[in-house]
Amino acid sequence: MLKIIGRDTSSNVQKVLWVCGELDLPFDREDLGGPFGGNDDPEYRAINPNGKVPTIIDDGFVLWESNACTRYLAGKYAPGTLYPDDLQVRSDAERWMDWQIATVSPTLVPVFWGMVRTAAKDRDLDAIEEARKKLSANISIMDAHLVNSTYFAGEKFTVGDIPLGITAYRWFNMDIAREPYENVRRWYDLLCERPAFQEHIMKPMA
Amino acid sequence: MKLIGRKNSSNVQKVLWCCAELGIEYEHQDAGREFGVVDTDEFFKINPNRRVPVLIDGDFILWESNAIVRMLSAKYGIGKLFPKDLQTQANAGRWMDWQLATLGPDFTAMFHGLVRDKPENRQWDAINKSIIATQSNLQILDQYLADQEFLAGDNLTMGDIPVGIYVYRWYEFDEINRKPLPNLERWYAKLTERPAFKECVMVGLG
Repeated sequence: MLKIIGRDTSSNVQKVLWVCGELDLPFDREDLGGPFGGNDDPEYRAINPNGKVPTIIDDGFVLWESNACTRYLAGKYAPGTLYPDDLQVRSDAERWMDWQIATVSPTLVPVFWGMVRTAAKDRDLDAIEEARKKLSANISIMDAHLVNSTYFAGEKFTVGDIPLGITAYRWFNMDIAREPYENVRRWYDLLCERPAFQEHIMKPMA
Repeated sequence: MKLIGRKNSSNVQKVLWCCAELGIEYEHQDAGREFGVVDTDEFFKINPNRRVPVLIDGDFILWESNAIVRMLSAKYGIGKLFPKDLQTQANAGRWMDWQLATLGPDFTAMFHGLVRDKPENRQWDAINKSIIATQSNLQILDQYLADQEFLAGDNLTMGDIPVGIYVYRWYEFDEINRKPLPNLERWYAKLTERPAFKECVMVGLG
């Protein structure tokens, strides 16, 4: 059976859990990282020298980097649906996955740490607001893209919606100011109807 | 097909190198930093993220450098830059994601400090932190290269491209002490023998 290593509150682990949920893939999950520690254990470093979560083990094949794991599982178990056959559609989807890593995540992290992982009395609200504006600028790019597109890579839900879907859950559920991005809201409401999203993403943030 | 982006950008170089390996022809337009363009309204319409590179192929527009490399490799280089086997593909893709998520961000302070800042303005604390983090990141590559020629097996794939550009830059700095990484050095020496790498990547630090 597929094994997933990583705590289920990690946004990167959630990408993999969500894919598994969409595909009804059974898996065993082992907690690691955050409060569970273990990132520096020699046994873990032996399979993932980068030390982060998730790592997946699929029938002996070890893979780490969350988007690579997401793409691999979708490519193996959902070609033509979650992982589009058409090269342009697939590239469009994968572009939004890369963009989440390269651009969005660095703007989400300081807001998330400030609002979710820092006690209210210790928050640097000016720094958080500065970071929130940068995050909001990225959400506005998503909003502009979704004007003409139901999902990120067209009219169907694909791997391209997964990393940014987790970003959107955090955007809508942190106690922060939010500009009214109507297209992002419409897309996010569709995600909230998906059982796999409800099960793996719509849970308390930690 | 048209490629937009200045040729001294590491992200544009990924695409230049990929095209040179596969013999893909394209029209080129400079943009970014000293060339401007990215701040114009016209550019915003093709890339609201305002970065280079952008690829325009008929009415298909793609931005995000790794997504472009993956798309061109899948279109023109199946069995070459784009491995046929899904697991090998996933391994190659993992190193592309890792460059975006880890290698690139850890490298930035060193690169900006040593290449773009005047000596009197250098922030050595940040530079030294960046050097230490990069050395330890490259150690991970060295480990993977112990028993294979390239990052996703015995042939050059798209997985070597983003990382290869950073490793060129790492070995170009005069100011840093590098710990020996024999497997990485062997792999890098092979890259430097490739005409496409010489032409597109070994062009100095800009």
